[in-house]
Amino acid sequence: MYKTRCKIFLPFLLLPWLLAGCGGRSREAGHASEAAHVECNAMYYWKTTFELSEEEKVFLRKHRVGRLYVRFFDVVKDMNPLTSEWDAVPNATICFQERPDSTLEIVPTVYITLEALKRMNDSEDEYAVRIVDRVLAMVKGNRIEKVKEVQLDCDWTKSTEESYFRLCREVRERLHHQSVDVSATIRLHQLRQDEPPVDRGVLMLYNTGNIRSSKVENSILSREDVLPYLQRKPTYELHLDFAYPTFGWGVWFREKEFQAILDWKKLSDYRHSRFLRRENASDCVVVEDFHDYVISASFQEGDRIRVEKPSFREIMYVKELVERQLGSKPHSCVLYHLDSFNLSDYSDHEIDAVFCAD
Amino acid sequence: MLCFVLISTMFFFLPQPVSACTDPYYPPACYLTYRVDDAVEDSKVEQNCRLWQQLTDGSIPLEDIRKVVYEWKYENVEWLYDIFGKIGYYISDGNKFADWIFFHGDREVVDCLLVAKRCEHLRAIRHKDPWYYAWEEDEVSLSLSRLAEEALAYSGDRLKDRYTLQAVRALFSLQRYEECIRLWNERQDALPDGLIKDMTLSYIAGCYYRTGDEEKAVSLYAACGDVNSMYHCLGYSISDMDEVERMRLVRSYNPCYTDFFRTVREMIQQVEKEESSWMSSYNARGRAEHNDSDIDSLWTPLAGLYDFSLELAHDIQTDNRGAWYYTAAYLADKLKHPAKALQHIRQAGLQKNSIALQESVQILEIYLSAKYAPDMQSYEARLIQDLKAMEALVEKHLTPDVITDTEDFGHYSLVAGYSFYYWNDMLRRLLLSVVAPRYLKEGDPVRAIQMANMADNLLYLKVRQKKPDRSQMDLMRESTRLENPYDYRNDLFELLDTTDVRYVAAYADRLQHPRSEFDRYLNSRGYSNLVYFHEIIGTKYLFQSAYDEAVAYLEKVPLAFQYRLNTFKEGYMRRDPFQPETNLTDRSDYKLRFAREMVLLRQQMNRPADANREAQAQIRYAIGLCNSFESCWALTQYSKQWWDDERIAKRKKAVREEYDRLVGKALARFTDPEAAARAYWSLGYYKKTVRDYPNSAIAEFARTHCDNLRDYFPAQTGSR
Repeated sequence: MYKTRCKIFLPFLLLPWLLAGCGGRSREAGHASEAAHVECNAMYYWKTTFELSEEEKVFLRKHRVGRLYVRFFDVVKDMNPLTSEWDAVPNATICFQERPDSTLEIVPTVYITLEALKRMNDSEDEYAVRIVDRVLAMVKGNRIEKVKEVQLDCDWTKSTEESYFRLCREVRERLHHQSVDVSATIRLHQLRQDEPPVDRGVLMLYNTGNIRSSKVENSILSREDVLPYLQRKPTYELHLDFAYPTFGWGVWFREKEFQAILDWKKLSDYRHSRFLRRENASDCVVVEDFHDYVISASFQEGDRIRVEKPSFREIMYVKELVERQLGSKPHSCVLYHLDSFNLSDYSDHEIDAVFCAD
Repeated sequence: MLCFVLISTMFFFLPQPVSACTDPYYPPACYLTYRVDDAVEDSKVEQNCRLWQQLTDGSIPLEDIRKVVYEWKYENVEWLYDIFGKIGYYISDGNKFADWIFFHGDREVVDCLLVAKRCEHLRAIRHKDPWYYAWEEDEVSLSLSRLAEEALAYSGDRLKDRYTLQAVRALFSLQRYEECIRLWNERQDALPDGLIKDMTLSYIAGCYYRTGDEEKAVSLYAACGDVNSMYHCLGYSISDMDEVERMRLVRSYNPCYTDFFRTVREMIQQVEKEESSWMSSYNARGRAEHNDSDIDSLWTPLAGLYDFSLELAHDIQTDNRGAWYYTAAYLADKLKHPAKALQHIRQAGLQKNSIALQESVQILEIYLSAKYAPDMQSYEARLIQDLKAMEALVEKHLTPDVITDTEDFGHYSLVAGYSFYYWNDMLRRLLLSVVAPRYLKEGDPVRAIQMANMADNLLYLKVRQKKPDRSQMDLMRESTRLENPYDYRNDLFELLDTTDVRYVAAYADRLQHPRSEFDRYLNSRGYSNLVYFHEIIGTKYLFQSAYDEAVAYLEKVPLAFQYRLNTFKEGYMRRDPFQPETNLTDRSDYKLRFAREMVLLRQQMNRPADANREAQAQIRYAIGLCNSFESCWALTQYSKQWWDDERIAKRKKAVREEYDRLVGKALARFTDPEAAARAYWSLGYYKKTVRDYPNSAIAEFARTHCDNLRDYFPAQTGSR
């Protein structure tokens, strides 16, 4: 069906290692460096503990993954115990149970909620210092060697754009002093807005639909959701890499009202139990009341669970569309995310095909 | 009269019915009273300040030391450190401790304070700043490490315990537990026993716990009195024990340990809160849901705590014996052992107590003495002294924060009976739950009113003395738009409203003509606006239909005051009491004009010259009387609730009977059909008027103005 179009990566994969080995680079603030960024296979790591299973290590090696975007912490609006005031504070900081492989480039990623961003308004410079200092402390404290880029992830909108861009500018200025670049995640709807003041972006080709709507078939990835944004060739100057989903989840509804997301492992357990009946490929119905004590959730007969996991075919359709419209320059492909249970539903051949950059 | 006194007494003894915006929500009897742990906690602070006093100068006030040690920020001490020796740079803010350090050039003390403040500052960042990420070479960790070295380098004896404490704190923060234990083992014998050593030992116990020696940790936590950490270490093994058993367990590890006051307070307050909730819970008919014996039974489970308190109080080895006697006294009262309560509280007062504890003992002693005094007359001489002592405590603890709170929320808290300012709460508890009810019971309602007035208004007067500007309270009292949320909801008003009017009048007279020094004292500690009382007396006379007396008092109420009444502001003084469907154009002297007209009507009723006029006056009088309790209720009352309490229901029943009697009598006396027709019409008998008096002018009026009544006269109207 889909031909694998993998090229030989080795020379490209070696390049960042060589560059990183050359020591610190001197660069003036505000000057991005394309040389620092090398196109390679990349993945997101989105858990609260950094501890790779053997399968995951094998996966990284087998698919020659050179860069790992690791979620370091979220920034959320919460009570700051030091000041006893509502504040933008770090949350769910990752705990490194092991040091990342020194051959991997690690991109510390910070997810910022919109509530936290609003709280930062007019003090973006202070929060930029806090974010940068904390990321660098985590890098040093955990002896992570190859950090050339930090990524900010935020679902900013037109109303919060100014504040977010101020934050990006401040973070970039500070990180450039450390010879570190800044990237940002770009949602599809953000392609129509101004480009954020960062060195590069990662276009998120997932979470494209409205998860809370019972009418949506697949909120993770659907060509119908992507097409409107890519029908006309967007003009985007910022270097973009592309991130594709290789994960699944269940979306639980009661009387068409969204209840919660169920992770793929949990969903798989349910699907093999007597409580769920499969209606079709993407829909299950609860046939008997049951309570899950682990997640404190009570399911009732008649509840529906939408099973979402993008098919290889769907991913490739979107990938071809994206690369046709935006992929004229060299770029990297990123998978979301490194989790052996989720990835086990895709063959090596399919993974290579998704990674392959034209 | 007796009937009203009893009703009043009942009202006072029982919690007030809950109703929208009128009565207090919680009875003052339920203010949280037990106060020892703060006092003991204070005593630790006090103890530390005394140690500093010993290290510096015995004449420095402890409060000044407390401010520097506990309230000054790192920057303040750093400033003192930086300008040390530079005389021209020092600006004293009057703190004698800071002055002493600077002018005596005691560098050692300022160094030590700086280390302590820096340690506190760094530990706050490390443990509380969510942005901080700890790793061994981060700036905070390095600073703490340097601080520990600096503290350990101190070679003197004078501050060795304090430097050791800071070193242990810093190392503990850095999770260098083995080093802490080593340091303790090296130094423990050289450190003086007492507060600082105990504080250090608590960290050492933590080090043992974190390095896996839980048994050692438990014994050390017990030794230094860190009971909560000890319980934490013991975990599930004590989960089935009650609190008293746990306290006994602690003492099995450390027989000298007695500082359980936080736990004791929690146990007592739990019951106090439940008691409060039971005392203020009512069914739909406004009846208390729990009787006295139900409420008393809440305290039975604390009998074991009483025994435990007494054991410790009797043990001469015990620290804080005063606090344990206090606890025993408090519980003995609740467990209905008055003689023991009085005995224990007196013993508490004889112990060597901290100032804070001595104040708690004094408050409870005053309360118990008043509660168990044989009679109020013989107790009054002592009461004067006690009230002065309590007033002094209210004044002593009146901080700027309390002043602000009193101005901002005081009226809400006091009306709702919320605990608000401990010293004033205790005064209110004494006066409103003990002294005033006892005066009522013993037949002196005037004194009871004086007590309620002091309870409700002393704090405002004290605040006014400290801050003479016009407060929110004044603005609300004077406003013709904003509701006055206090004067018509507080306990004083509740008492005035329910006490026989003659006693209220006697109280007003006592305000103007005090009979004794005690009267003068009480008058000057309450709300003394005579117009307020005259207005209430006038209204109460209206309630009793004593219109001549009402006129006498209402005449003394100026218009400006009438416009400040909540019932006026809320539009309840608008309807014509003789024609309630009509609003009056002139609302001035609403109550007075009504009273005067009722006086006039009564005179006409009793003038036998003309039977018709007499009957007309009787009917108008009956209508006014009835409406003054119904659609024009603001003439006789200050609030309307969704059910009538017993007193009002009884009065309304009597009024209805009087109305029926007067109207029946009047209607039978009419000789003039025209006058009779008008009377029936004014009473609302429209059909009867038109049917029985078809030729009267009022019947004609009805036929031409009312479609429905036309039907009664087919011959004339031709409609049937």
